[in-house]
Amino acid sequence: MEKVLVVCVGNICRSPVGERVLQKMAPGLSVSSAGIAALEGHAADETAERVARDNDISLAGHAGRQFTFDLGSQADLILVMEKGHKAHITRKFPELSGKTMLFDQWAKAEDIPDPFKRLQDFHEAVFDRIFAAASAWAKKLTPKGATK
Amino acid sequence: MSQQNSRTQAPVADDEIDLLQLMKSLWAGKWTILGCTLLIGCIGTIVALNTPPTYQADALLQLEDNKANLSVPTALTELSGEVPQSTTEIEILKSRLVIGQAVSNLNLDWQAGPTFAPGLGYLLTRLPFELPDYEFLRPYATGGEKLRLDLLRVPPEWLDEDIWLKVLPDQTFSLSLPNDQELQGTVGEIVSDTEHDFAIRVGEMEGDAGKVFKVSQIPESKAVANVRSNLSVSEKGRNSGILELRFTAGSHETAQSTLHAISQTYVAQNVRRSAAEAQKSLEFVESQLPIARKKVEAAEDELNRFKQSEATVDLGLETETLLTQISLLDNELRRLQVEELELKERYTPNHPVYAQLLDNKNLIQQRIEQLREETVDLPQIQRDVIALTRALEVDQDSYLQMLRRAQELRVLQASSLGHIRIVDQAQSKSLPVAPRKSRVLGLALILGIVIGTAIVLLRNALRRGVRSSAQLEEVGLPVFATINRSKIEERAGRSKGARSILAISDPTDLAVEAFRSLRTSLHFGMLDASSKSVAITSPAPTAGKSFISTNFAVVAAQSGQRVCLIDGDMRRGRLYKFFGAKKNDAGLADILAGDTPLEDAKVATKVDGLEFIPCGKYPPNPADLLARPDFKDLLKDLNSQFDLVIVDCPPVLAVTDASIIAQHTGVSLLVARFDETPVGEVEAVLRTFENDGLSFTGAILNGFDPKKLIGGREYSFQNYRYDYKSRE
Repeated sequence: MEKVLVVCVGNICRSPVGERVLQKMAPGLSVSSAGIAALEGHAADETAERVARDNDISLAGHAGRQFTFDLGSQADLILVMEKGHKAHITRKFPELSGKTMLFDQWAKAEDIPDPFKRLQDFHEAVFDRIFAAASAWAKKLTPKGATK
Repeated sequence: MSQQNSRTQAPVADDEIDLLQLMKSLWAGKWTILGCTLLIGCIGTIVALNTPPTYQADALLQLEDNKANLSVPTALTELSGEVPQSTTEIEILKSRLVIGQAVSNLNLDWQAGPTFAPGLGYLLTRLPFELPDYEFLRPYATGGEKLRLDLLRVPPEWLDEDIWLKVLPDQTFSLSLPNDQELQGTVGEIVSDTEHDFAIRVGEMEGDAGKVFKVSQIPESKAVANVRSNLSVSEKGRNSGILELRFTAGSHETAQSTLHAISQTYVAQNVRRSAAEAQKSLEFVESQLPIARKKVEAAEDELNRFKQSEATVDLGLETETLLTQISLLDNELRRLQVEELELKERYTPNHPVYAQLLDNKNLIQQRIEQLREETVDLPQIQRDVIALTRALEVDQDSYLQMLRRAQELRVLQASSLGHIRIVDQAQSKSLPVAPRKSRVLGLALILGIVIGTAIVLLRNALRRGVRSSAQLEEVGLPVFATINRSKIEERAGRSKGARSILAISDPTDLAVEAFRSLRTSLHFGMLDASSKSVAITSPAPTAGKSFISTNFAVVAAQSGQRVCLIDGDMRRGRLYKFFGAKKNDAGLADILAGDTPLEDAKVATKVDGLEFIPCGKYPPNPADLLARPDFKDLLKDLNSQFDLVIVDCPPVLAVTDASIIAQHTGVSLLVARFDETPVGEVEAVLRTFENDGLSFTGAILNGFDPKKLIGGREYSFQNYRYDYKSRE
């Protein structure tokens, strides 16, 4: 497991945060992010960025990317924020369904809600969820991901 | 994105396969279709045999204009009615006037017939063999029963009520009446119940003792309705004036006699109708005759009396002449008066004929007045004689005229033929018109084939295989991978001999991407597993286990894992074809039997890190071999040497081998083929495993073909929550 792709809808709130958090926790991996209806070329959401900065995570240099089959097939693992995203990928690209898993798979195995245009409190709550989920994934990925 | 575009452009055109598929599924359901055809064919035959036959009689009538043939004075022909119209006559034929007469002539309101056993009653009467004498069958008809009534009279309240007649020995019978009364009787004698105004005489009775007949008198209106519903009248061709009558009934005698009665009644009523006007005139003339005769007698008496009292009276020549003239005119006047009486019946005084008659009458009356004035000059006696003689002659003449007219009318009446000619007398065909057995049977067979085919197709439609990963997840199997239908693989699968591995021959195929996907999901699926071995199986053959095992092994090895692939199907294993091995090369069976050490059986492959163990020589007892501890030890040994051990197993629903193998592997994967493996089979496999204390880690949906899914593919994620402009 080397390449991980974190996927949400717009690729400006949840997935950039997830990408940077996971990257920080598992430096051996190559983590990137994309959105299934991405705001292409856009920087990360301001509130999300602020919340991340407060937690020592930088979202600087992020640019929104559209999720494509090529991006998905290059990745070893695709982590989505909601079950609906997995259903979408399964329907559009059935071949990728196997490697698509929930970002929250090993924490609560539930959807991580979209904080877009919500208050900062909500963004903070979502950040905490992402943080907890990323650390669970990092544990799963690090020992085996390092061996190759 | 380019990848995505190429996906949507992939040409798929396999209509011919669908037709082939249809034929195949029909062939697979041939017994169902055959069974259905036979069943419905049998039902059709029974229905045809159980339907009492219907016979048809037909007759041909001609409506004709026969005025010219009438041998009566032309003045009278007007009395003989109009030329009939077909449509009118058809209605008359079906009227109560005609049919009611036929019903009462033939006593069609008497119903007498044998009783049939419930259900297949009529069938009993045409069995080619004698039925055993069962008690419960005794009252029912078995063929040859007959009952003819000579008389039936029932009180009005018993109309339409059943009277049961039971045959007793020696031509006697017992009757059970609607008021629960029992009567005994003998054939040919009247049985009556004067209290209820009931009487019956059986003319003929055939049937064994114990048989029961049903007798009833139905209301005339009902009998007429019955006859009318079986009668059809149509004109042959437009305005041909030829009417064809058809009548259907249960026997050809009845059909023929009823139709005969109807046509005869109809013709008779038409004749009566034609002569009706002549009849009316005749009645009038006859009513006037006695009066006229009395007048003649009275005039005679008076003249005689006068001559006696006045001795001889001699009339002069002049007187004689006057007398004759007056008497002639008087005759003429009387004749006109009679004519007038007749005309009055038909015309108003404004009618030209009538008016002319009145003119004539006036002229004659004036002339008579003139002559009378001339007689005033004659002597009194002579005048009296003239008056009396004239009166007598006038009365005599008028009487004679009436007699003649009456005679003419009688001739007219007698010679009236009506306007209907019977061209063909009623005759019935000896063969029944219904049921047409061959047609019923043919239709039943066709219906059977159609229904059978429909059942087969419907069953196939309902027995559709898994169509989405959601269906597998519903029964509790997480889907680890969805593998697209690969045309290259399918083509290779059909060919004999060595087979290529898709992951090697065409690494860019979409299916290969799915195997990489499977590797990821299985990686996480095996995190908690006890060993690094995977059993891959399916409910039934041809789900694609070997294809998946091989390709997955290759993909895993290509990613750097040390992989061992074992062909665990020691009955029909074919994995050796992928790796250039031969059929009877030593393999799993030989290792387990202790004939070959593991190291000799392992086959090195072209893929780095992948080793292969074929199934070996097919042993007679694969399940026993697998149950030995040797298999467990073998897996343990391999687990220590490899990162991943994949065992390709036989199908679960066919043999127990897979269950035995799965007991020793870390995880088990179930392969379901898209659109072919029914969900029910997947559930059956899950139950089988559950009974053995096993469970599946996940499922692989193989042969996925999005083109077979209706709609859904053009799905796009609607990003309604993101308003791009609001951020500007």
